[in-house]
Amino acid sequence: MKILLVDDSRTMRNIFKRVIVGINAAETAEAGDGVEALQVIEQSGPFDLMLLDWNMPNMDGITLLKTVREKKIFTPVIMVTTEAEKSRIIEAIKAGANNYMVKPFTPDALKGKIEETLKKAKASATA
Amino acid sequence: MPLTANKLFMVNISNDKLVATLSLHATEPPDKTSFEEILNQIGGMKITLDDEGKKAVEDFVAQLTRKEIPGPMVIARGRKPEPDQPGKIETLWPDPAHATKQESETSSVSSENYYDRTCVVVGKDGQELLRLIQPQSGQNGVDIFGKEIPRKLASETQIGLGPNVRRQGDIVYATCSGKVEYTNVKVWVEPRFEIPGNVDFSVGNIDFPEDVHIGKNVLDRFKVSSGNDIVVQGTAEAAEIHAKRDLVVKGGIAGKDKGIFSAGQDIKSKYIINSKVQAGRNIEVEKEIVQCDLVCQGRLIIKNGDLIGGRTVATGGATIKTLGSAANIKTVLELGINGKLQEQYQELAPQIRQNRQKAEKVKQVVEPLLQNQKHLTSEQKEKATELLFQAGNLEDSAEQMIEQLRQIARKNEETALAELVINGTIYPGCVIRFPRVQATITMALSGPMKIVPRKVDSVMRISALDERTGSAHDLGATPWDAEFWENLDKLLRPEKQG
Repeated sequence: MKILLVDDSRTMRNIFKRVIVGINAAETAEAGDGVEALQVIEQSGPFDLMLLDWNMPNMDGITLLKTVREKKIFTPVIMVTTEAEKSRIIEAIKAGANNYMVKPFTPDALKGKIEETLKKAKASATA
Repeated sequence: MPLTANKLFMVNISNDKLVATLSLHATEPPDKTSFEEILNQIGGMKITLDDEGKKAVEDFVAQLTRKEIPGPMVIARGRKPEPDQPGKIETLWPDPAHATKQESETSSVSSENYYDRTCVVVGKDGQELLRLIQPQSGQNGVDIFGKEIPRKLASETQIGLGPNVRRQGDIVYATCSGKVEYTNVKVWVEPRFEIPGNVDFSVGNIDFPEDVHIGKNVLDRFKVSSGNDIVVQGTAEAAEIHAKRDLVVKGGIAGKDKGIFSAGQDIKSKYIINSKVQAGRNIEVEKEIVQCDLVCQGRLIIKNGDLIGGRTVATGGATIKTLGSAANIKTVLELGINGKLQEQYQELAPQIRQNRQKAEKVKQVVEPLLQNQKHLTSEQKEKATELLFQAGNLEDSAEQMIEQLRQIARKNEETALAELVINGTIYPGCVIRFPRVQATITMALSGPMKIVPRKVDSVMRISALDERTGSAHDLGATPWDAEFWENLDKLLRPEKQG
């Protein structure tokens, strides 16, 4: 399994990685913003899951999500953000996010969200 | 060298034919002479003149022309042969860094400790042992007649290869660990180190990666360690002996309260007295173990002898002829107890407590933030997430340590049913411990018997089972190390504390 972690905070990326180790993900790739993420997707894709931060320099997470979907890449995406407004959540879902995670969250909550997203993606792929 | 001359001049040639000197033969300068005439004379002798030689002849003629009597002049020089530089063999072990360290360590000590010397040089598999430096070519010489003088040739640097070494290019490597033996003509590695006599000042300490065989005794204060087995034909005194596998001391161990002996696997000896002993598996002694601090992860066997005094841990149980002595000497025997459990508990329990406390503190900091999420800035939300993860990591780390302890405890349960077999007598003053319970012997009991822990009316007791009659004799039982077991149970309970 390959998971792409996109966040401008190295600490947050490390946090993601620690949770992913716990769910036996074999491989992770990282990017510090949307532009870098697109390069990583091109070079190392496809991925089984992407965790995208909303607020990032150069290209934010929502723009990255829209760009990815325009490229017909339908990898499951979890948007991770500090923005908790309903409008934002709807915007992300409309843009193609499969799930949404609001900071602050616990390791268990993130782990649960990742497992839930992967399970749903697998179910819809086999349906 | 014979002089070669006409009536006016003579040319003296050195014995080695490397120098030719021109001098006047007549007592007075000749009336008439010329440069060409002299050159012809010399040419007739087949001497090769270079520019310097010709200049010398010119000077010689000029002096004659001025009616002076010239002194002898060197007109030709040959070249001495330069012999080949002989090759040599450079030793590459022990590694120079190690040697330097030892040197500096020694020099920093004002008085040298003669006990603290290791005299055995060992090599490891793949280690470079020797470098063969080939001879460097010299140059042939040439005499004044232009004839070549051959130089002295050096022979190729060679070394005979014995067992367990290989040569690649000019480097000789060890192909196994062991004692490196090197004479001027041969090198090899002995995978077993044999000392025919004592380990004493003449041998020094031994630290050898493979088997060590000692023909006689290991004397006080010397250290022997091996990456494999150690066999001592004689006795071991107040020494330190550590074998990664088995240790056999045929003559017996008398540690004088200073000896320390360990083996990764089994220890066998005739007797063990006043020593600290540790074995990863069984300890088998023929005669007796007296006043020792002994830990045996496997089974302790003294079929025909006594265990008297000291503290003995036999995780896998014990078979002993006599336990204690008629003099009521306190003899503590702990059975089925994995010393590692206590050891690891002492090490990990404080860390577990610390991690949990830290995690709790972090959670206390985050809690108000979580209650008030709507008013948090993005930075505060990120920080709160980090803190939550920090707390999670601390808890995970504590949980991992607990799991480590759980595994040892599980192993301990497997050995907890270890039994003590007494073929002879067990005397008062002996304390027999099993996990959680102990019994002090108050009257002498005769065997053969088996002493085991067992539940009587759901209370753990220690019983002596008479092998002949099959009857059980209750030795009583008091809690032993209750606080430790209670704390351990509490710590290992599956639900998280706090």
